Amino acid sequence: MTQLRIAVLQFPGLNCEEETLRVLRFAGLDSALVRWNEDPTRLRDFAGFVIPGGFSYQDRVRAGAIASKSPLIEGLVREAESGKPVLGICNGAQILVESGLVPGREAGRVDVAMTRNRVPHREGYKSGWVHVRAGRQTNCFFTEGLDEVFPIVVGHAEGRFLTQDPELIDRLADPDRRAAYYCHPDGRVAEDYPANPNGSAGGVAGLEGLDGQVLAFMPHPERAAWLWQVPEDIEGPWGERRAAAVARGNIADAPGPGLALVQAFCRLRGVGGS
Amino acid sequence: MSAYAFLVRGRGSDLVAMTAAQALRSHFTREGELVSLQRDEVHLLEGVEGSDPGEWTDACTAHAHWFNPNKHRFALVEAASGGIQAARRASPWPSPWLEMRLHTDRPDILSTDHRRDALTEWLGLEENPETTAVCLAVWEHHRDDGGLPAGPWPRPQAQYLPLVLWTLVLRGRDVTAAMARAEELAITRHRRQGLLVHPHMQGWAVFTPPQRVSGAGRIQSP
Repeated sequence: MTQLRIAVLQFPGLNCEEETLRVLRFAGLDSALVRWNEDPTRLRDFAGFVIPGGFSYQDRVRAGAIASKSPLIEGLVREAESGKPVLGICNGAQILVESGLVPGREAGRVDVAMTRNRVPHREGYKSGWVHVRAGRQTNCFFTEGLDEVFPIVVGHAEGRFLTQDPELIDRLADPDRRAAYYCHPDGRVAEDYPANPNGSAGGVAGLEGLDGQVLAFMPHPERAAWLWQVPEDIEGPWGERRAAAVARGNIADAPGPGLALVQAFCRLRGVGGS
Repeated sequence: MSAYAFLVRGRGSDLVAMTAAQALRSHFTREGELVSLQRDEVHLLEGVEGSDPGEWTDACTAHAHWFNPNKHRFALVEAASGGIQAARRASPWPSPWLEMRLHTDRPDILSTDHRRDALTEWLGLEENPETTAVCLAVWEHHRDDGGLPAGPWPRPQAQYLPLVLWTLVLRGRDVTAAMARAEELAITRHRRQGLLVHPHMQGWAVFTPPQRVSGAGRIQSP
């Protein structure tokens, strides 16, 4: 079988590229790093793209703002508009929002901000495990078929989706029209901290762009791609799966809850991906 | 209601402003159009009637609020009130805004003429008949209650608004054109337009520092 090639884009200050490459390989995907100062036409050689997490350009001006203006992102926009999927994780999500690829209803227009977390009695960076669920009425390439609550890691200080666009506000009022939202282990939308780690209205954790092939996703699937990464005491079926795998002695290579988002790229094999 | 404002700038190179200037020059401006870009912090306090400005400076320096005198230059100036209301209700920004120097660690900007514009001197812009300076005061929407952080303040009930003040010096002498161009460069409406301000999370007022150009002191806000 021909392996799909997925590019991981790197900008100065991103710091999750190695883990992201490792998870793509775990999913059976050929992957390579493309750096910010390389020729953007190199992106033509890839079937899909990931922008990993970190702090591009030290979050100068705003998280993701400087990277979003780069020639490499212009190249990425061309590839995305040709239909190739793009996953932005954490700072990658912020770059996609700043680039106008998400929500991308009008080419290049910036309709959403990722602003600082707002939860009672605390400020700044929040890191930890939360539960997330995919909306059931979106056309998001990455969350298609994901119908269960899954635990995943967040680590950010500016993860609150904010827009003044009435049409988008209206759309996001329905949980099932959000690509992903923070929830309680039983699936209820999480409006309050700590289940909702950043105060995002409606618990929005991910927002899709263009025709669904682009996803800005604040949690880190690469930190939950193996079952051994899941905490022992996590509530819900994933904790039970972990305990069962430990009892069977086969936890080392067991897939974790975050792998499914990355495995979505594998579906490109069925639609002529290179 | 009376108001004070702390003007704050790091003593070292401002890498944020340098990176932003580089991005604007690389992607959005004609060669030589953006002469310089500066970034300052403004900590605006309203409802401070009767309080001694020295008490505010002491409270800030003793508890490392907003600036550290070892790392930052600062000045506490008197401000026209109404800025916080303008930020919350999109009403006109006060004009003139910052007027009188009160407390500063920069004796070089002290003047015997206390009614001269504090902002112009703080910014330290060189006189250049070929350029126009435009300021954008930027604040975040959806902040919490607008109160002061915990601390032993002279007036604990004072209203507080932190701002970032971007100053763009642009080639050309047409003030109206410069203000419009500064907004175009600053407000992020499109991937290929704007960098410094995100309109979905921030508000802004644009004005020219008084005394620098004809038509001085005009202020616009969205």
